[in-house]
Amino acid sequence: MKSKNSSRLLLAFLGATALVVAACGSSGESSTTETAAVTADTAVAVDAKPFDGVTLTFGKAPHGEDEKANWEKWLPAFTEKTGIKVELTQVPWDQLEALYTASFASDTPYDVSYQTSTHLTLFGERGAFEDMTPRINGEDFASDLQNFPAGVLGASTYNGKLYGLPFVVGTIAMYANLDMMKSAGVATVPTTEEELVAASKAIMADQKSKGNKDVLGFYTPRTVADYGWYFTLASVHNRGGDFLSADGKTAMMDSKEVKDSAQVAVDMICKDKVQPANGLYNREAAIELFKAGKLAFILDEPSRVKTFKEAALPFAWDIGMPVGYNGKATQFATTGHWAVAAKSKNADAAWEFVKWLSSAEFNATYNQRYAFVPARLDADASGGDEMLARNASWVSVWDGLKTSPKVSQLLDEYAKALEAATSCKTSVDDAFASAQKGATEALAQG
Amino acid sequence: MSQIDQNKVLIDWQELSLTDEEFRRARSRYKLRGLIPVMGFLGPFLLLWSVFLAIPMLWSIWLSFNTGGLIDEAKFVGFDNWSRMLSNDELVRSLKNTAIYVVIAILTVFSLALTIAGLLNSNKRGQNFFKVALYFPLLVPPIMAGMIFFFLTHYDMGIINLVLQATNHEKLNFLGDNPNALLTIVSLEVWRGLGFWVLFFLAGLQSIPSDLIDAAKIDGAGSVRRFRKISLPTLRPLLLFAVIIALIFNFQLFDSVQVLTKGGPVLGTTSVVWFIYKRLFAFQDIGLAYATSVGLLIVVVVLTVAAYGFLGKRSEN
Amino acid sequence: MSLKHPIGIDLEDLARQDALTRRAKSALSYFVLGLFVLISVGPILYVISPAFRESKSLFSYPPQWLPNSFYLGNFKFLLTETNYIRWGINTLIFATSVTLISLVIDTLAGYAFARMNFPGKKLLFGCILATLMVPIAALLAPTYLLVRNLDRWTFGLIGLDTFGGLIIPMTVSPLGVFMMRQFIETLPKGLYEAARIDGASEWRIFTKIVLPLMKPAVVVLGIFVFMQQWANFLWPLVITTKDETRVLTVGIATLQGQFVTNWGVIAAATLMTIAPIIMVFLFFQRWFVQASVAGALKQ
Repeated sequence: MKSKNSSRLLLAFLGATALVVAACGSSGESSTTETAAVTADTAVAVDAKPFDGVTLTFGKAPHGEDEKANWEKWLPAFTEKTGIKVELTQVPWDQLEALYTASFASDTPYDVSYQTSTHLTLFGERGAFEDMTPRINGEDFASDLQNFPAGVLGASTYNGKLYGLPFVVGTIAMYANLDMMKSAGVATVPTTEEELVAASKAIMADQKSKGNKDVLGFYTPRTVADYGWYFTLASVHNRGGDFLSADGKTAMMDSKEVKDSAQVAVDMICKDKVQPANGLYNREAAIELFKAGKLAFILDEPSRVKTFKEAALPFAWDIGMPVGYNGKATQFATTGHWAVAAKSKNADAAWEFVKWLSSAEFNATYNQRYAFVPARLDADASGGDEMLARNASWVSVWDGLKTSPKVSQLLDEYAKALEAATSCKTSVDDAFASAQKGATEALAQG
Repeated sequence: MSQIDQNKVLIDWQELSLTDEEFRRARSRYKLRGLIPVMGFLGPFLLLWSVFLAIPMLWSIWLSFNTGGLIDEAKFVGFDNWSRMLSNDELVRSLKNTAIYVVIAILTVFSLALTIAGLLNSNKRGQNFFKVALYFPLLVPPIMAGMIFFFLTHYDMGIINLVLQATNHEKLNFLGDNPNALLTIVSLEVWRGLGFWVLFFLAGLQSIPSDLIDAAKIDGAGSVRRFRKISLPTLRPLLLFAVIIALIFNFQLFDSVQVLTKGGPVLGTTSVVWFIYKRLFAFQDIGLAYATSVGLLIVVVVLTVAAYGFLGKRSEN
Repeated sequence: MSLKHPIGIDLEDLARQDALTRRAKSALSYFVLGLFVLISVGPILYVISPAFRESKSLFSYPPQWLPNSFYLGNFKFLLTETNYIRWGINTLIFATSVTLISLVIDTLAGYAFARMNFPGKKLLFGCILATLMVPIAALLAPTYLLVRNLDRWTFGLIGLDTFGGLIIPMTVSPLGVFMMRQFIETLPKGLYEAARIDGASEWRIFTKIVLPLMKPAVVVLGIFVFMQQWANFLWPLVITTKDETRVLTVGIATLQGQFVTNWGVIAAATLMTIAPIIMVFLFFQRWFVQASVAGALKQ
C-alpha cells in the first residue's frame, strides 16, 4: 500500500511537471510562430499599412459580462484597416487600481487603457500617461475635435494637460413607475426634491390602502460600497456648490450646499422614511424591487433602459432627470477616457487606436450596447430609442466630475460622511466636519 | 631520567599544538565545510525567500520613508508618513475593528473546533465523512464565498431572513448596520476556517495516550474534568502554535471585507489591510500605505512574542 | 434471574442505564455534528439553484426556491463565451506546481532548522517567521516589479505572463518551513543520532530516516498549500494579463461588470470551480485522513 501511494505521488509529480513543461513550451512556441507570421506578412504586403506588425496592449474594465466577446467582434475591423493587432486585457473593477498600478509601474504598461475621471489624473500626474493636448490639436484631429463639448474636455483637463481622450460621459436617470403614480393621483414625474418626497409619500399611502404594505417610494445608493457620491453630488451642484473649491485647493465638505443636499438625503431615509435604511437593499437588490413593482422611483444609470425593456416590466414606466433644486437641475457623473501610456513603445499606433475608438462610428456601436452618452455630439448611440435619445440630450446640462489627482480620496471622504449621516446615527454637521478634516489633510499632503 | 622523558613529552605537545592564528583558521575552515551541507538543505529556500520576500519587505520599509516610488520616482521624506499614520483617525478605527475581529473570530473558531474535535474523537463511527464534509468550505475561494454569503444574507431572499420571517422574528440588516456587518464577516471567516481547525485539534486529541484517559475514567473524572485536566494541558503546545498562526492570518483580514462590505457601513468593517490596500492603490499614497504595513508587522510581531511568552511559559508548568 | 449485589444495587439495571445514557449522548453528539455539516455544506449546495436559473429571475419577487426550468445558459456561457477550461487547467498547473516545489524546499529547510547547527540559526529563523506576518497585499507591488525585472536575468523563465513568474514567487512559504521544523523536531532523536555515529551523511539520514516518517506532515502541508493557491487571487491577478496564464479566480472576477453582475453566471462558475477540487479532495481523502490520524501537527 505504501509503495502504491508513493508511486501515485511520483505519477502526480511527473504529470504536473509535464503540464508545466507543456505549458511553457506551448507559450514559447506560439510566440515564435507569431513573429514568423509577422515577418512573412510584412514581406508579402509591399503596400504595407503604416503600422503593420505592431501589437498594442489594451486594458479595459468591462461594462458587461459579454464585453470580451464583443471586442472580439469589433477589433478585427481596426486590424484590417491599420494592420495593428490589439491584445485586450479585461481588468476587474474591484481590483482596477492594483492592476493599473502594477502595469504603469513596469516598463511595459498597457499601451491604451480606459480611465475614468477618478483615475485619469491619479495615474496621469504620476507620469503614467502621455499628455494628449498636442495630439488633439494636430491637423489629423481638427475635424473631430469640434465635436467634443468644451465642458466635457474642460472637466477632463488638469493644469492644462489632457491625459486621455473623453469617450463616454455618465448620466443618471430617474426611473418612475407610472402605474403607481397614476393610482396615487401623481400626474407628472417629480422635478423637485419636495415633489419627490410628496409623491413618494402619496404613493406609499395609496399602496398601503390597497394592502401593499411593503411598497417603498424612492431609492438611490447612499453608501460607500455602492458609490453614493455618484448619485448625490448632482444635488450639490444644483445648489451651486461643490465639495472642492474651483481652484482645487480647498476642501468644501462642510459648506452649506454640501450639507443641505446631504440633509435632504438623510430626511428621506430617517425622517420621511420614503427610502429604506442603508444596507437593507444594495443597488442591485433595489433594482429588483423596482422591477417587481415595489418601488416607485429609483436613480440609476441609463443602461437599465435596455434591461428593463428586455424584461418587459409589467407596468408603465418612464425615465426623467433626477430632481433639481430651485429650478436648477444638472447631470453629475464621471467621464470615461482612452489614455495612452507615457512609456508606450508604440505611441503613434496607440494614438491611431484611440482615434478609432473615439470615432463617431465606433462610439455609436459601443454605446448602442452599453447605453452611455457619447462624449462627442456627432455620435448617435440611441439606436432610435426615444428614452435613450432623451438621455443623450441631457449632456447639455452636464456638470460632471472635474478630474484631479486627489479626487478619489476626496470622494472617499465625501462618501464616508454621506454614509455616516444617512445611517441616521450621526448628524450631518458631525459627519461632514470629519470629512472636511480628512479632505484638508489629504490636500495638504504633497 | 624521568625528567628527560617529561621534557620530551612537552616538546611533542608543543609540536602538535597550534598557534592561535592556526587554530582560528582551522576552525573557520571546519565551520565552512560544515556549512556546505547546511546550504544544500537551506539554499533553495533561502534563495527564493530572500528574492521574493526579504527584498520586497526591505523595499517596502524603504518606501515607508518616501513618497511615491511605484509609478513615479521615490522622494525621501523622513518620518513624515509615520507621523501622518499615527494621527490618522481611519487607521485607529481599522485597528480597533481588526482587533475586535481577531478576538471574536479566534475565540469562536477555536471553541467550536475544539468541541467538534472532541465529539469526533469520542464518536469514531463516520469520522471520515464528517472530516471531509467540514473541510468543504475551505475549498471555496474567498471571492466566491462572498457571493455565497450574498445569497444567504439578502434582506428579502436570503435564507436566514426567510427563516426569521417564517418564525415571526424581525429580519436582520446583515451588512448595513453595526456591529452586524463585522459579525457577518466573522461568520464568513469562521465558516471557511472551521474545518481546518477541527482537523488540527483532532490530530492533537488523537495523540493523547488512551490509557491516560482510561485511568482518569476509572478515577471517576467527568468528561469536562477530563478535558480540563488531561486534554487541555496536552494540547497546550498545539494551542500555542494555533494561536500564533491564527493571529498572523486573521490580522491580514482583507478578502471578505473587499467582497462583502468595502469597509462599510460607516467604517464598521475597515480592516488594517483594507486601509493599506486603499491607500496604496486607490489613493496612490504609497508612503502611508507602507508605513502602515510596517507598523502592522511590528504589532503582530509583538503580539506573537507575547503569546509565545504567555502560552509557552504556562505549557512548561 | 437477577443478579443482586450484596449491597443491593441491581448491576444489570445499572449497565442498562449506562448504555442508555451512552446511546443518548452519542445521538446528541451526532445531532450536533450533523448540524455543523449542514452549516458547512449547506451554503455550497445553496448555489446549485441559482446556477441553473436565469440571472433575471434570481432575485425576482416572490422568492423562487427551485429552478422552474432546467436552465443551462449560465454553463453554456462559461464554456463558449469564456476560456473557462483554459483557466481551469492553468489553475491546476499553478496550484500543483506551487505545492510540489514548496513541499521540496520547505522540507529541506525544515530539516536544516530542526537538525543542523550553523551560526545565526535562531536569528535567521526569527527573520523568516517575521516575513510571515507581512500582509500579502502590501508586498504585491514590489514583488511584481521584481518579477518584471527578473525577466531579463532568467531568460524569460520568470516574468510577467509566464508560468514561472506566476508560480515561483508563491513557492516561498515561511509557514511551511515552520510546520516542517516543528514536525521534524518531534521525531525520535535516537535513530538520527545512531545513524550519525555510523557516519551517515546528512543527505542519507534525511532521505532514509527522516523522509519516510514525514509522510503525514507532507500530506497536510501539501493540501494546505494547494488549497491556498487554488483560492489565490491577488497575485495571479497582477502577474497575468492573458488567458494563456490566467487562473479561475481571476477569470471569474473579470466577468463582473462595473455595476451589473450576472449572478447566475457567477453561481455556475462557483459550482464549476468547486466541483473539480472536490474530486481531487475525495481522491486524496484517504491520505488526508491517514495524515491527521498520525497526528501530523503534534509537537
